[in-house]
Amino acid sequence: MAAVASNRRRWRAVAIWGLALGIFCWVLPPFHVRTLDAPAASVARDSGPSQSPAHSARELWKQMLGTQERAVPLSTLLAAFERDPGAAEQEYGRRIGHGGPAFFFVTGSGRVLESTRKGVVLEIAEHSTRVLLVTGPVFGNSLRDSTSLVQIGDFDSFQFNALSAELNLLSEREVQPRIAALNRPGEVLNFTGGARFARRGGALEVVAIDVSPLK
Amino acid sequence: MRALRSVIGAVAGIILACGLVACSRGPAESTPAPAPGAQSRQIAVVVSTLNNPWFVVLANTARDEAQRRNYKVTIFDSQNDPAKEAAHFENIVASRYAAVLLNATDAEGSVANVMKARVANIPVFTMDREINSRAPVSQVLSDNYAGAVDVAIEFVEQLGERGRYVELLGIVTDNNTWNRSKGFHSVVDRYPGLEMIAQQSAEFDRSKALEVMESILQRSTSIDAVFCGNDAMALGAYQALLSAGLAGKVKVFGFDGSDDALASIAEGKLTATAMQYPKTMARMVAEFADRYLQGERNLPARLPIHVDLVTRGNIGEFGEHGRRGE
Repeated sequence: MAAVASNRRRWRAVAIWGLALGIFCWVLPPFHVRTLDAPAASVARDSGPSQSPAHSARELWKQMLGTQERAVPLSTLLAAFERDPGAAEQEYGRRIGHGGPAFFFVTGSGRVLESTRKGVVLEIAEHSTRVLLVTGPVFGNSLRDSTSLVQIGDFDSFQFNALSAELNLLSEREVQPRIAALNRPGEVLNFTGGARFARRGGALEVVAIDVSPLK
Repeated sequence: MRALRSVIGAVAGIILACGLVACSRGPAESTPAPAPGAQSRQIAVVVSTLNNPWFVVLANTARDEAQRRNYKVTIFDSQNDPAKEAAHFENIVASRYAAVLLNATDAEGSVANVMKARVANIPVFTMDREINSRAPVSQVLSDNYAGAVDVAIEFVEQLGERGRYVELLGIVTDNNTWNRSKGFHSVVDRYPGLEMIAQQSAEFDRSKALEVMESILQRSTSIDAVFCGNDAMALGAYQALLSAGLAGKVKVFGFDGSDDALASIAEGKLTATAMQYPKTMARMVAEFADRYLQGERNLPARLPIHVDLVTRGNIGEFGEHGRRGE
């Protein structure tokens, strides 16, 4: 009888220790099996958003239209530039990388002066600087890089570049017809868009996301 | 009673074991970013090729900047061969270098090498050539797409929106090749008067560009312009055009801003190029490596460096792989 009881106790102890070991191994596995590619799979692919660049551009476009109140007023920007271009860039401009032009998310109004091959030239009250509302094929990163709504780390380099091209196409398709319709000398236009100062000459080139006649 | 004691003992054992394991874990398991190599002051500069003067400038500048920051530096030449690059990484890992400044041979193929270093806790910083991975701590690269857009705008103006052209691509497994090509086409393809009659790779190599261009010219000499993914190919293409009696009649565009290309633009042989800044990139990655090894972790994962268009009109502003006076 004593031997049977002893045997039962031993089995119970083995079961308890076995259970304890099982729990321990489950909570803290003593080793992991993984291939050398595993870190690559977890960190390597800079896949970016799953949507197409066209879809991302459309989303960003909507956000830009919805945040026009964050755009710097043109008169504020031009006054700051007349005082100190460097400080104006620092305060209102944005650059994605190292060097190159600063981009501005700007809103304002101006009177149509003339049309050129590159766009519609606006005269700005109380400032000598002209604004060029870009028409025709739009190139560059004025729209993508002028706001902080998009970050370079959110995309791989191909997607990031494609995003810019898609945004430019949206401006061509959705805003340029309105610019064409309002392009009459003397007409005063309100506009919002991404901008940069031209490399040659001093005009502020604006790729517009919105244009309307002054009411 | 003995059973109760066993249960208490087992629970106590688990708690103790958990505590010991937790103490011994340290930060390693929770840190995706590797810790720097153990106290090493050696930095490896791994460059795709030293057969192109532009990359010599890149490698030497990275070396000089790292040495200025009191590191011992070894330059490894991969000779544009991913297998050689892999062998370099084996050596680097075995020798416990503190960091690698990498100019990769292949956007995809180099990922495995960088992962090998990462597993060995050796941080990698890429310069000029991007790899398709987040494994490098930082990737410092020219904004190739934007640079090619600027070259293409000049291309369109120079050709008056009409003409037949050839494109010479770089190494097809390199992201720079495609970012430049896509940037170029994002502009040029908008003008129906511009027709691409040939698009071939010359692998960023001057001799190969000479051969490829000669072969294209045997098929047709009715060409108005050539866009090349780097200056070495532009100079090779120009040589072929010269031999065919077409120098001066065909406009040649490059990308890099090498000294040879700038001299050729000044002489009217090439029309334009895009100035990259190899010294800026190399100094920046050496600085990033140093800051990382000193414990800083807030470094940009990818940093594009602006590229400038160089034509005969502004060539005086540029020289020695950068902007004069900088």
